[in-house]
Amino acid sequence: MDIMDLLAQARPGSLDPGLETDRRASDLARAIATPRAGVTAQPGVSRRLGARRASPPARVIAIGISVAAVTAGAVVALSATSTPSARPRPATGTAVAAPGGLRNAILTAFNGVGGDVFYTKITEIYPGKMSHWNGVSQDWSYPIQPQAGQEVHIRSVLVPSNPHDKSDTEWIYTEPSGARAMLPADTEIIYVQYGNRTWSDTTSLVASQSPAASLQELRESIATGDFTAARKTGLNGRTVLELTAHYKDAGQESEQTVWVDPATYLPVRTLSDSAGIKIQVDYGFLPPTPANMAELKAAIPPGFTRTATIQKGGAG
Amino acid sequence: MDDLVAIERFTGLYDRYRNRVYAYAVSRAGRQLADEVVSEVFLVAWRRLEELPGDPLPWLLVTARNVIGNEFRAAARQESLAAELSSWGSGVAPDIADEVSERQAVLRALAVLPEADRELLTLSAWHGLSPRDAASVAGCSAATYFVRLHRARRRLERAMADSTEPRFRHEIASQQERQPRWT
Repeated sequence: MDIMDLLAQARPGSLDPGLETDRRASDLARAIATPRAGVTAQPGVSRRLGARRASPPARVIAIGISVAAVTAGAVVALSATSTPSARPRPATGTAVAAPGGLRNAILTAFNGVGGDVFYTKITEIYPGKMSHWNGVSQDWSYPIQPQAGQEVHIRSVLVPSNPHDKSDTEWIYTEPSGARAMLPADTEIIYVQYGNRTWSDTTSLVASQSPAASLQELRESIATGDFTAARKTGLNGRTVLELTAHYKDAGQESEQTVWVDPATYLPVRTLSDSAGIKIQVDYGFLPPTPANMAELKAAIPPGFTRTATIQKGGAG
Repeated sequence: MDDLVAIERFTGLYDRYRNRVYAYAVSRAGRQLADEVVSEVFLVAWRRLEELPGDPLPWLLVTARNVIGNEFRAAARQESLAAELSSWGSGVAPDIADEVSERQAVLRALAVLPEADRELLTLSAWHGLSPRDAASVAGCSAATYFVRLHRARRRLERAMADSTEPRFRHEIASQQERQPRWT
């Protein structure tokens, strides 16, 4: 038998994917939720660090209206970031657990935050000249792990380096069920554009990825043991546990650090550093009090004009 | 392109070619990374939907090739691929049938070839590309492709022959407590 025929017959079964309809839906949604050529997305957060590209902490993109609310960040100092109305801490110990025990404690803590308001503040620090999209992004989402049929609220406030480009966007949708999860769903979008002092309240077909997706990515990094070193240290006047992971990619080293609250084992901050580009994310897990729920609402400043549609070129 | 039309076209593209891209990704980067490669490829396809040629498969595989080369740490890719190649040549007792033994032998031989040879051979044998399309995926002319494929075939045959040498037989025998029947 010809060797090529033999090779063709030896084709391994592993080349055929399994029946993973959820993954299919996820792939589709991920692509559809991303702007096509000619539609400008805000760069930065999806920049690859370590082995794989980091997921944007928030990505909610409306199809057909060129809205892409991807978090961006500004060049700011690595200073303290206060999180509003933080959840009261349980009275647990603060000793540094063994690496395996610490990992398990963090993963367990992640599982317990499903009903909280998830808050992130993302700061990007670039070497040299600042780009247009340097800025700070703040996101709130509720709930962190929505169940099918549950109403989901997401708000993203982008403050790029140019204040003219500031925007405040709120999305409200019902979490789809089963195989439709992450596929486009009818979504109410309240969009406030500071550049032209307008706002709109529209409904569009949107594929959403909650800011909490970044939490899942962090969870996976911790679960796979990327973070190998742990020590107790101080951060903004509080004691935290510091875990560090090192990566090397084609001679380029990168480092990711996560600081964890020793009482709750939830992340307080992460900092990724690769080739001088730093991305800092500050986290907050907030109980769904009226005050914290109010943060999910886009703020419409007095004097802004309502428009019937989202003005192109604003957030897209 | 109207967005609904684009979504419909993209969904059709995905349904038709996802498995082909997945197979290529497994053969180049292993199962551990294949799903992520597929996601990245169709992300690019969505962004450039209007640029896709009438027969998009070579374009998709070239994109997968670039994603594999650019998006993953070399160590992670090699680790995933090594696990994949290892799984191809193991797990089935060689005395079940000659056919199985031959299959195992050719997979083991393929696994020890240089990556470039393995890609050329599998583009044709596993991924069903025409020589012209395989050449475009491999980044060479059709003439160069034939020359390289010829050499790769010779190396595969040599590796098959080498697999019957004592060291390899000993490895098999120690795993299966007997020599493979093809020796």
